Amino acid sequence: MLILIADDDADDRMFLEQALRQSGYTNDIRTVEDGEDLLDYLRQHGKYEGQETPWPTLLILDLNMPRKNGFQALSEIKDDQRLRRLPVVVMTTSAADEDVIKTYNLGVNSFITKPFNFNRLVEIISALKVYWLETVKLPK
Amino acid sequence: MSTRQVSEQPGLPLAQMLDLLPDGVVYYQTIRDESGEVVDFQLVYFNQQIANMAEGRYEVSPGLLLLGDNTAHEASIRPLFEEYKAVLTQRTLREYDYFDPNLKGYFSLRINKLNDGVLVCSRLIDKTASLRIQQQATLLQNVLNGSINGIMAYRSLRDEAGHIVDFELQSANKAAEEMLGQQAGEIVGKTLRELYPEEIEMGLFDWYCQAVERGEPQRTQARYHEPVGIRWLDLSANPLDDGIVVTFIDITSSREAQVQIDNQASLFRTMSQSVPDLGVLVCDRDYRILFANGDLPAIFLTEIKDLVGHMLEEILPAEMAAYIRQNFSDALAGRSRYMNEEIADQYYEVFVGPVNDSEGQTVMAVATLRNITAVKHAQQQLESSVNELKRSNQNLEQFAYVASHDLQEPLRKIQSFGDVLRDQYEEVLGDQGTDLIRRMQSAASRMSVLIRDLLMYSRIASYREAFGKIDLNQVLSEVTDDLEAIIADKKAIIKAETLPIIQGSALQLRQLFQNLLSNSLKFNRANVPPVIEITTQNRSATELPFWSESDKKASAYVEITVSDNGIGFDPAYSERIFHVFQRLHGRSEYNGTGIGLAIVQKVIENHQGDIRATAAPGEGATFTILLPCR
Repeated sequence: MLILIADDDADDRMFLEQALRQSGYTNDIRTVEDGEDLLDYLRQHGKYEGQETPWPTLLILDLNMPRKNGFQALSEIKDDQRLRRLPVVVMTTSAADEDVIKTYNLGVNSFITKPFNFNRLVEIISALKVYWLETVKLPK
Repeated sequence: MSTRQVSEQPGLPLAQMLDLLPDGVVYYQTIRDESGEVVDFQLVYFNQQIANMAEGRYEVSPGLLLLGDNTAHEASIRPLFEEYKAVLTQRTLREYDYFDPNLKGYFSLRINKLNDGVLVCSRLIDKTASLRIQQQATLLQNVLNGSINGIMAYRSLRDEAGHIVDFELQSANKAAEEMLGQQAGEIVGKTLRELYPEEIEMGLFDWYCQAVERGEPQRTQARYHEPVGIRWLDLSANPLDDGIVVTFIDITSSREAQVQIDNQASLFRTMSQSVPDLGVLVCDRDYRILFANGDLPAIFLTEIKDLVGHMLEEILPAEMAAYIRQNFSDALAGRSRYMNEEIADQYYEVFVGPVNDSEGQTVMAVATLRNITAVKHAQQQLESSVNELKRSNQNLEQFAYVASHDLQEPLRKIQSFGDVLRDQYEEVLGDQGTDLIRRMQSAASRMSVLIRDLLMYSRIASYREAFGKIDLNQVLSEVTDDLEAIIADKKAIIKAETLPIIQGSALQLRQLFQNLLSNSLKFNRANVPPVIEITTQNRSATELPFWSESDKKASAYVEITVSDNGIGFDPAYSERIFHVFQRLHGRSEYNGTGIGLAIVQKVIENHQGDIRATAAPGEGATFTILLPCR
């Protein structure tokens, strides 16, 4: 079991890891820093070529990232026969309706606005863990 | 004398002898009134010749009165009466030729006084000559009556000193009868003073006298004030014997038309001169300037007042002349066009087109030039201002994005770090350290709300989305749903009448009600549950309240009031509460950024409405909104 976090903000990566641990998640966590990095990981390209890149159970994706943003990365994942089954949860500072509509049109599985305090983040991550890792059946 | 001799010879058959005479003989006895004035003559005797001549024309029998029994022939008989009377009073013999219109013949008359009466001998003058004269008279009469001019003949009436004192009308033709609306029979024989006294005042009498005395024809135009209006006659007076023939024609309509043409011409001249920034140039088919006036471009070789009468080529540089000639040529061919021209550093709106006469023939070409330089400059300035505004709006949008995202990010992190610190380092921090972190988080939270409100304000201030039909009842119900928690918490009661549907922005109107209701819910009196009443009323543009500054573009408005039973405010602040960051209370008492009502006002401005707040401390506040509805 592996949760992959794609976020350019080191603080947010830290908060998410912290929240996952506080929610009782003990399995692997891997992080990538932008959309390019994410797709390289998923396709074993670039710096991940020849590396071991385990298939993630769930992807937590930020939208506002340099080089390749979350929309572009999401679009490429859902266009790729081999990658499209990956469940993607967008976690972003945006609460804009147009961003919600755009990501769902691209095939996102959930859209979450980053909460304003850490305790709420822990509650959300706990809910994600219960739903995606303990309740639903995911493709192998 | 001979009469006496005959009567002295008894036995002669005197009556038979008289009957055999070729001349007509008539004796009239004088009839006088009580004062002895001659008033008529009575027929006493007439011979056979008279009976023959009169047969079928005049009634003759002894005892008939000359005037009294000949009223049908008054016009021709009256002069005879006057002659008889003159003979009687002046005791002189009169002999003259007389045309009897009834008998249609000329007679040589000899009138003698005899006792208290007159003896009249008459002899028919050569019948063929008489007939010719009569035919000529008929011809002349026909000519006169066929004339479209009114013709009237007057005879001078003079006093003893020989001065003309009046004129007697002798005849009037058909045209005169029609123009005057009088029959010749009614007016012939009467005098000018009797018939047309106004002509004395108008100076026409003197003018007639001059014509007679100088013996020269005169001509003038005279204005008559008649009950139906003003009538203009063109009059000419020709002296004839001791009198005048006045010929006249009614020129009222042509005179009026001329006045109208003159008025229109001066109106056109005044207009072309007085319309600001307007110039007019007119030329004929030979490209000769007929009219030049007003604000024309400074391209002419002569002054504008001297342009008329010149050919285009004489008053313009060759190139310009050729260009204008081409445009006028198009106009003379019947084509008209509008164009914008830059001439001599000035901008003009130019119209060139044909001028047609009443037959539809193009007789002139007209060019009107409106100097729009000032408008053009203003327009250019406006365009550059709009571009500048667009740039500044783009900057603002960029700022809005930075504010919404990048400024919120660090605050969110301060909050989250605080949470983590308080969770995981509680023991290390102690109570005081934990409290400090809570204060830090509270400050960050306030800043976050401030940024959010400021962003909303700037969005509403700069964003103009398309308006749609908005049901305010639905807007209100959504807002009360959103505020459900605080409504329940404060046990607030919201009473609302049925609100109208208006044209507007759903997002903005929602923000408006949200902010107004939040305001009322927030500023309740301690331990008094808020009661908010929302009422509505239709208002036409003419019955808006006095305080409304709305420019009344719409014909109908809806007035909505939102009033509460809260703490109210000092009326001195009723304007200032709508300013950004204006707060009337300390933060420890009431939370808030001081932007809520500023947003409300922006929404109202965007909807071309108006808002006013009224309140008294401790007695609640009332917000009255005017919104246009279509």
